[in-house]
Amino acid sequence: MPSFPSSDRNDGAPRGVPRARARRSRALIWVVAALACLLLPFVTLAATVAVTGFVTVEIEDAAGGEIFLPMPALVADLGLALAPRLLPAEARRELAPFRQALRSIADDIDDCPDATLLEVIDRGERVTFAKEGRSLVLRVEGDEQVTVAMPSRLVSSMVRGLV
Amino acid sequence: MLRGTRFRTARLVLALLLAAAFLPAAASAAEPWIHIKVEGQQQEKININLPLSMAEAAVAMIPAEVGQDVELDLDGQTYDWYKLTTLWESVRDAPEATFVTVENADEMIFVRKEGEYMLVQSEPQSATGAEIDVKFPLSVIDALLSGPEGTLDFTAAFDALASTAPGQLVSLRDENSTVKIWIDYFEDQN
Repeated sequence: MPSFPSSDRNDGAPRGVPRARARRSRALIWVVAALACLLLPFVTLAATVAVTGFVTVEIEDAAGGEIFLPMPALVADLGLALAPRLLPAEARRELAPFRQALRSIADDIDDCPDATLLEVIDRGERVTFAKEGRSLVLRVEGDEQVTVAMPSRLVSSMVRGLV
Repeated sequence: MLRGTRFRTARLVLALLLAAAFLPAAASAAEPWIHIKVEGQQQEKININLPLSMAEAAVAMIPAEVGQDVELDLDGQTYDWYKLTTLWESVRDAPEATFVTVENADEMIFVRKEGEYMLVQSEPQSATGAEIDVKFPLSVIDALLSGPEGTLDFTAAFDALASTAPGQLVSLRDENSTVKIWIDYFEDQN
């Protein structure tokens, strides 16, 4: 029975594979691992953004000009993490008795099925506030068309963050 | 024989699993919603559609002072909470009847008890007369007056409202506006 040097047995290469090829394989594994480490934060961020959704603002004026501003809801979440410090203590005290009710309303909004919750039509302008899928959509239709959409769970986070 | 029993058991387990999977969706679909529709003379319109639970939470935000030291002015007479509850108890115990009839140039208004409802209805006497059709469950007024002395319990009233049968509560129409309030179970609101 032929014997092999101990180093050949330890590098995991199958018997008969040349040492240079095994080294290339090992280098390739390192390159892939390094790339994975570099890309992991971006992939994680992209996945989180995809899961948490976007806050979008769309404005279309009478002249046909359009503005579309998408912002990852994640950014809003981070902003909300700071919000309690920005809200004056007096305002927080005044809102405190309504904490439970506000949280309950926010949770109900998050749980409720698709519907137009509010519609106001006045002087040729129509304002609607609707639940559409996992989003809350505020639309103003008049001379200008404004649409603001945000993930409904953001409202819960907002309320929980503020009161 | 044993195989047949196993097959039946498997079918039963499958049916239970399916029921468990779809029950939450069915439960949320059966939630009562309150709808408020106001239309003005000049095409202005307000539509509010809310799950009753959400409206109930909003009612909980009514400041406590609003429901305290209740007084109601009726035809020049002031009724405080004690008078109101006494009046209500006598109405509650009375048989079905028309309790109030108000007649003016534009309409005749009737307040009557019918089954488990208080009704306020009108008969317009002129082109500008208001059409009123209010149907209010007695249990809601019971609940409203069920709080501590001198107070109105709005949350209890909403609870009672949520457990009543769906249908129209308020329909008012006069020359300037139309107001409708009703409760139904959620279907596609869009």
